[in-house]
Amino acid sequence: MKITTKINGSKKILEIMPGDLLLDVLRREGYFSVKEGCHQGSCGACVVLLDGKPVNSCLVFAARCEGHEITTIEGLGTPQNPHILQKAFVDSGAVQCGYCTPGMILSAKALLDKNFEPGEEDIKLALDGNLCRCTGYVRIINAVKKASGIMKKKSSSVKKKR
Amino acid sequence: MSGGTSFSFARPKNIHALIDLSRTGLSYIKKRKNGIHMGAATPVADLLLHPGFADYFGGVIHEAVLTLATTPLRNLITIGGNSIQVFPWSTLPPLFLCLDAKFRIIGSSKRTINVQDFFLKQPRRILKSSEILREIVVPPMQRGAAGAFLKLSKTKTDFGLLNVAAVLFMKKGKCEKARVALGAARSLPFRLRELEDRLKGAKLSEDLFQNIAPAILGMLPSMRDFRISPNYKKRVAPAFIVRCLSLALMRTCEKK
Repeated sequence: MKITTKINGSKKILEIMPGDLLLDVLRREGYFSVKEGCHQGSCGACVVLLDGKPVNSCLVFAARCEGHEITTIEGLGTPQNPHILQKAFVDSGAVQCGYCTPGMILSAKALLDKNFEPGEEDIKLALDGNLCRCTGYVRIINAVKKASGIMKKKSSSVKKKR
Repeated sequence: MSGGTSFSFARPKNIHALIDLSRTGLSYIKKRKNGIHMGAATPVADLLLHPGFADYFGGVIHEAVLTLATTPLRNLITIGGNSIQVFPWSTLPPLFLCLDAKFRIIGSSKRTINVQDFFLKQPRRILKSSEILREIVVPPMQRGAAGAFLKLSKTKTDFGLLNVAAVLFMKKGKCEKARVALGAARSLPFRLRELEDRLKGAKLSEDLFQNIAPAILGMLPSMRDFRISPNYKKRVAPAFIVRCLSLALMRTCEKK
């Protein structure tokens, strides 16, 4: 069967089987930032944004994504021009092995897209589905706070210009 | 399938076709005179966003939903799925038992099933093959009523080892009606009717709950669970029930 989706802003027609899971389809299509961890919705390594909301792609049937928009970390920034969150993760030392990082950043992005001044509890809640087994969570939470601070500054400078 | 999480978790082989109920317009939360109507395909995360639930029975729905899986999973798991595909640890069923929820079914004809009948056996076996769950209706808020939800688990987001839900309806300092339900205690959620009868008409206090804790132990069925010993589970349950009732009672006082 064929489905039409939008991945990272570009229209994609995907040839899939009815039982294919989104994680497997995305990796087959070359989106290798989407990691397979537990394959049971526990670790968050496979988190992508589905219409802006974080979901575990290992538990989503690809067939459901017809007409929906998927964002993976490939759609956020580039090495030359990283997204604020990507830069904040690097600057805060929030990346060690990197396996959880795409999922972490996408969960954080979904939070900051709704609320760019989250409290620590909001950040912890937003990241409760993403496990990190290397750095611990302090630096990751700090990175999200840092990105939120930068976004707040940018937004207030835009307001001043207006 | 609705959210499809339990189905995809099982990783079934040889799927020839899937029917996606997420496009059937059953994702909604509507406040009406007779209660709050929740479409079966509504993601549980939406319960946290709807203003109608912020203070609903002391915030009991928010409290329960925040223990239900993780943020990305809450965007997938639906209210209907959590009620139809009942696992022992499913969060919403014991809460719906305490709220006397109604389950509206649609098929060749429409019918409504009361929550007690809905969870008598696996709800999937209650529905005919031509039927789907359309919506769940919980009652409007009542003055002097509040609830609480507690989950015993190894981590905040892990499957519950025991779920306790309680809703107390207070009038003139006395308990007019009590609802206490357990999840993850047996394969299906159930109400502790003997305890509810004991609370009905009584002047409730934390001391009273503490005093009846030993009696609660006798009201519990045997609970088998490979994750923790049945003896531990049975011993810890009265403490959790007392804690849950105390929290609900405190919230009824706050609402005066």
